[in-house]
Amino acid sequence: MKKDLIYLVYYLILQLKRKGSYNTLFSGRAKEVGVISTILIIAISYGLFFYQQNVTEENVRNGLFVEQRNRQIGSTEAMAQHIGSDLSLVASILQGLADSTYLQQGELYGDRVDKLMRERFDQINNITRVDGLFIADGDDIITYNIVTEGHRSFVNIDISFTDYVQETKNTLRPVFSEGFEGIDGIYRIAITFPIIDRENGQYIGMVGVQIPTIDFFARYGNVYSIESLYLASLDRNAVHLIHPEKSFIGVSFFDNHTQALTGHNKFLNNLIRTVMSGKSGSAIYEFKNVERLTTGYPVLIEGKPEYFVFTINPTSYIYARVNEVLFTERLKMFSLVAGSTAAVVVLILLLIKWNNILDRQVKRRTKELEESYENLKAHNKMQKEFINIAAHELRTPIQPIISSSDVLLSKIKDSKHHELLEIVSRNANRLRRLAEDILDVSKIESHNLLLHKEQFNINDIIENIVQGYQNQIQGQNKDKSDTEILFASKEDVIWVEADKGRLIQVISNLLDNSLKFTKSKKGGGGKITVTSERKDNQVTVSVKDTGTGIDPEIFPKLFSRFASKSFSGTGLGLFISKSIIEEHGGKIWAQNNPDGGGATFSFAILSSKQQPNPDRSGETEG
Amino acid sequence: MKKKRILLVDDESDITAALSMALVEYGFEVDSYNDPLAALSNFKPSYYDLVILDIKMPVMNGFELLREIKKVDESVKVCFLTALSEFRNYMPHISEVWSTLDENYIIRKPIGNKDLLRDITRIINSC
Repeated sequence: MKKDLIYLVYYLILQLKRKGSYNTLFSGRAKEVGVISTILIIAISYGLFFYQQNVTEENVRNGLFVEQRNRQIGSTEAMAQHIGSDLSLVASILQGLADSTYLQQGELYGDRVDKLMRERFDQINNITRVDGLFIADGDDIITYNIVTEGHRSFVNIDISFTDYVQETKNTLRPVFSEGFEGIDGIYRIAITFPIIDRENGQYIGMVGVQIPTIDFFARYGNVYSIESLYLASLDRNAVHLIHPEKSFIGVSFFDNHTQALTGHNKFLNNLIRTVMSGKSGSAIYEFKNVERLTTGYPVLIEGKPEYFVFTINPTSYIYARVNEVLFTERLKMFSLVAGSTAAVVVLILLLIKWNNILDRQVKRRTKELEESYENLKAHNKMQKEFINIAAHELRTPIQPIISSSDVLLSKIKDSKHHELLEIVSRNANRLRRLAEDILDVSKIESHNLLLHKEQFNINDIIENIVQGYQNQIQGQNKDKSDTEILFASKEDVIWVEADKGRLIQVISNLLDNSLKFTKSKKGGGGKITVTSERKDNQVTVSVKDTGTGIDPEIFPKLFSRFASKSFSGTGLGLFISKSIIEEHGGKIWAQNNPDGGGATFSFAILSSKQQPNPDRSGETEG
Repeated sequence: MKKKRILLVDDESDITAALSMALVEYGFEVDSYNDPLAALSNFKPSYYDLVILDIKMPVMNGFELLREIKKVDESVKVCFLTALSEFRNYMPHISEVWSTLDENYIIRKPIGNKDLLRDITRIINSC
């Protein structure tokens, strides 16, 4: 079985390898662990199975053996009963003869007797084969007999020397004799029945039969198809009537000769004693180097043990039968196991195949996805490039518009045309801002926003920007848009290391934004306060206005792209500002003023502690 | 006071026309060309106070033109007026005329006339 197991595991691994799914099923270390644990699981389960099978088989074997032994005891008993009843039957026929009118009248021979005797002889022979039927007179002389062919007549012969005759005469009862050897060397038993005068109870003689023991008992052996089994039979003196060992016949079991040959076997001796005491028995013992199971049963006639029959059986024969049964059972079990294993193997192979198909499918899909992802990426890149180029190209034609309108603005004083020119100029500038913002967004999205850091006083640039806005407002001051812009800082100088241009862009964006919403507030006017404050190593710049405040709908996406709800501008300003501040490692935020009017936009970046080196022009990219 | 002389080279004739007019309004003398080769062949050494060049031009880009101009007038002050925002593609040409890219001499298009005046005045007055 171990061999089968090894083949099975080997076959499994071979299949796995051959299918090439060894790698897809397991990978790397997991592969080894998987294979080893699979083999271990199979080996352990088979080991357990075979162990269990052995235990079970041992139990079954013992059970079967007991069953076989009981069967043997049963058949021995049946045989003993059969023999007993046959012998009783013979005895009853003899009784019939003894009670017959002729014999009762002392007519112990003659034609009438002969006729009767022949009838009965045939009846008896129908029960069992007997050598002869005889009548003896009161002096133990045979007066009549019928013998089978080839046997000589015993008429006129005195048989008083035989034990059974004496016993019959003494007991006046039917006798089932011990074994005796005839002058022809054949071993026999005799059954006799006394002829007793019904009137006066006087002994007249006897009728009897002589039965050759070997033929007699062998017949039952055939009836009970004991086949390879041996039959032995003992009389009341433990003398062998039939025995496979011919030298035992006519010899007592307890004779020295027999005991020497059986090796004074304790088990066998006990068995014989048990059976001879009238009980059934069985024993396993060794005789002539062969283990045997012998079962014995007394032949009871009217409750009295007259003979004893034994069935002797080499245990190898029983074991052969047991093994035969076991083999059939084992075959069934192994077919079941082999079937299950085959089913599991098929299942595994199917799983592997399925896994392969799935694997190929996944690979194909993954490849498709990768391809479409690459396409998308390329497409995206192309689009970004296109936007980049478009924004660049947009800048060139704006230049002559701005330049021309600037020149014309200074030339044309006619207010109506001047106004038109201002529209041209304002929109050209708006277009310029739009192109710049789109370019910035495209840089941000391709993570290409490069900072040119330098050290400078952030208050300086705020001052300049605020000044610029103030000038602008004063310059175009008509009536209502007189928004006031103020700058206040607790400190004169706050050093930062940052991209000056980009910070100007952020502050301008915030101011533009505030201005837009402050101006758009009904009633006009309003105030924008710019503050800068250093705390620890951080500078916070805030732009607080008294405008309309931030629309709650817009608030969540305030710093995202396309958040614009403005009247002019690209709507990209806050997004760009946020990106610039974050690129500086800072943060930007907004809130509506708690007092109810307007909003405050703030950003915070790191301040630098040292004063900048004046020699340093600070053109670092970062 | 002698009028400052400016050479303006840009392949867009609308740009040279508008800018020339603006610069003349601010009191400059302006020579403008749309063809860099024509600008080079008519170049007058030690004559201009400032040369303003476009970068992206057909036949010869701004840096190549500057290289050629420097061959005949090494000390002339030069700035670029461009719509480009990055010069990765021009690095080999830039390295022929500058040791490093100097943003101070690059003016971005589009630019308002006042801002342009401020920038070119700064460059002319630089040492």
